[in-house]
Amino acid sequence: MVAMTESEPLSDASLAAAWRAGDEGAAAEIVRRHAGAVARFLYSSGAGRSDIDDLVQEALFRAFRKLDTWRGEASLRSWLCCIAGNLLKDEYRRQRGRRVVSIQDDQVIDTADPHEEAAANDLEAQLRAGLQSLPRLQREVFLMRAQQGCEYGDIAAALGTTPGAARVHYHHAVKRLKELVS
Amino acid sequence: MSMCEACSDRMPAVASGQSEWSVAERDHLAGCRDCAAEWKLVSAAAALGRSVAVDPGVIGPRLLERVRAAEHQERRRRWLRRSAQVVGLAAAAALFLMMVPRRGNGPVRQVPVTAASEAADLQLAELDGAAPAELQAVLAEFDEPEVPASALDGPDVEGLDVSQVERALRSWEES
Ligand SMILES: [Zn+2]
Repeated sequence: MVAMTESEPLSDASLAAAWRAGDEGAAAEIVRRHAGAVARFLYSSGAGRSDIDDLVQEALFRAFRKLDTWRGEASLRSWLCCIAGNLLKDEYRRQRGRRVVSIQDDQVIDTADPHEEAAANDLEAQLRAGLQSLPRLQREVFLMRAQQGCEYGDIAAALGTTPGAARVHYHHAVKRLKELVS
Repeated sequence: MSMCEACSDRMPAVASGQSEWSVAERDHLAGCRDCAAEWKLVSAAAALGRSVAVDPGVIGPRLLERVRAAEHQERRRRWLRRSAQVVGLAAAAALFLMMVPRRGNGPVRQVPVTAASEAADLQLAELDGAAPAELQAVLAEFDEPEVPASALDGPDVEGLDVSQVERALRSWEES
């Protein structure tokens, strides 16, 4: 069982090593830490709300099956997002181009002010639609950076590019989204 | 680094609540339309999908069960593959052993090697203390061919032309 103190939580690398050594508690902690982020990444990338549970589980399943190959050059978060992005691409291909996405999913924003809620819903829907129109690499870099808070070096390592190129993709994404989201 | 670049680099940290804008940054955002537009996107992206809930307590156990089952299947597949390789090797070895005596005793071998001449190369420690008569008996046994002489000898080809010889050899090999 993983030993964790409140002041010093184990790093993702230590958890991965513990899991590889057979500690299932470490695996549960990895899921607890990252499942929500993977879900948000998938949703923002266009996955339908009703598919999220299955997609998160499939993405994490793929990740755990090849956790041996994660060497820590990319953060675990960016590595997982990369796997989730590949999964979505596979799903899209599997369904022969039919969108796996439902951008019109009901947005559930917890806010007391109906005007604020409508505006937030509108912005979220616009952003989601805008993200769909971006090239895949731009979308993933933008989400890893803006939503997941990953560093350019992490993103580059996960996507197999350079930090400079990741930065360029981010700025292209921002430029395009500025035009699409009012 | 320009103020625009500095602000852009800090946006994810501020959007996620890990950091706060400094006064200078706040002033810059208020006066720079580009940075303000980017900030709007980044803060919206940071909030995007917050309402999507997954329960790690449900996903975790189901996931581990799947991983365990997949690993079990993988081990089984590897075992079957290895077993098939071993069986294949054993079959190949058996086939090879079936072919070897036939080739060794076939007509290609012009001079039949007697068991006695091979025995000369053998190290038979148990015979070291044997009496001469015993040794003679053992050697005589080695000289006896293991199979009838007719099987060791090739077909009788004397007096035949080349094509007849080839036919005779082929039919002898097929027999
Ligand atoms: Zn600026």
